Amino acid sequence: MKYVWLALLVVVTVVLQTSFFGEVRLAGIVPNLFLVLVIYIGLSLRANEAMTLALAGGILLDFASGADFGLRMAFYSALALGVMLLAETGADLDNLSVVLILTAGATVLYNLAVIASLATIHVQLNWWHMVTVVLLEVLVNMAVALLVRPLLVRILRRPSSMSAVALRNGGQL
Amino acid sequence: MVRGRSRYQILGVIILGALLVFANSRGWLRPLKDVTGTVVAPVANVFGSAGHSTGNFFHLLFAVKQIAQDNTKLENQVAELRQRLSEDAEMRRENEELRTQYNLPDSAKRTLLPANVVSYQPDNIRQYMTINRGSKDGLKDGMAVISGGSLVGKLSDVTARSAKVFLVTDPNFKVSGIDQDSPNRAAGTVSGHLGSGLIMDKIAQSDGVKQGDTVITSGLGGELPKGILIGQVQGVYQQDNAVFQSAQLVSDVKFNRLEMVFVVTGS
Repeated sequence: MKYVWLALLVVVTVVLQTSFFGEVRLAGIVPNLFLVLVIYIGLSLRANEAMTLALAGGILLDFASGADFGLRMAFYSALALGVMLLAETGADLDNLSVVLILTAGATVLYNLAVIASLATIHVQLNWWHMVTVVLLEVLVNMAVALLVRPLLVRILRRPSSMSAVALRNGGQL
Repeated sequence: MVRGRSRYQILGVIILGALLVFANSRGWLRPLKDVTGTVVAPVANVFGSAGHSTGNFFHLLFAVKQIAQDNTKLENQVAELRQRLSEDAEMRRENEELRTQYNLPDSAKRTLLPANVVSYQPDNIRQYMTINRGSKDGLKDGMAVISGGSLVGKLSDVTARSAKVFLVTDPNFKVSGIDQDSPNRAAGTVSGHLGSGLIMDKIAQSDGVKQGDTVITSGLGGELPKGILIGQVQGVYQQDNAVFQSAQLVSDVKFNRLEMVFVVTGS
């Protein structure tokens, strides 16, 4: 039942990001809801669960994207893995600042990955505009991470997941 | 360090991802994309409609002054267009008389298929959207998509029941264009530029392009039908020692607020 809820959470997040927030843009920016979800998933669940959910959501986003198939799947899987590895270093993962810093860093990296994918085709970029867009997206995503925290912590830190947290604190994934 | 069984599970996920990328490059994932699109589309439609209504509400709140200015500008444009319409009606009548006299075939008419916008791109760099029509409706890659008579983009990644529309503002978008109002009907390449909208470049220095000129598709190469409005020239950039000049274009299409578009299925 837990996996059903998690799968539903991933699907709803992807649909909201591509349909609802495609129309309702915050400061002209589409918030990256799935990126925020992957960060919370990486902090809360077991390695295989987090990687699987990140991969599944990345595939759905790649289906929705129509370009660079595999980019989002690879990025979000790597993000989930990176967050889990960070947990191994002993970072205080319940600290809100850690979540916000992860969100900011992941947003910048994601946009760099998309820009890098454009390097294979001859395009001209307005770099000043790109920097502005990325900075705005960082702020929007951090605000989203803050707003959804109570809900996601409640959903992801359920008793069956608490064992994952306990295991992580013991140094094993 | 990731240990034991988790390491192999992570490796498994990576291998699965690589296999999926390979399968997609071969087109083997199309049936899966069809099924996913069919299942998700109704839900996406509901969220998209809700988003459109919400977006309209906030847009109205924050753009009242702009709406008033746009209203005045549009009223002036309507008056100007009415004048041009009556002149065009005369020219069309004369054109038909001449065609009849010289026994020439009728010019091709376009057939349009309406489609709803289901979703937008999931990031802020690429510019594309998904519509709820696909190959079952006769759509093919490369078909033009318009809204309000202006070019929105062209189709890509067409599945049975959905299709992606790469917008003219996408950095990968390129089409041949003609300045309808310049004396030499200046030709150039119109491409999307992140942050700069639309740029028409490779325009010969000798061609007179000025602000306010109308740019349409040229139809060269058969990629898109000829005569579809792309936008108006907003600024011209010339350098004395350059071979070409370029022009910044502005489109009338509100790309982030589209609810319905039309696919040009025949012309």
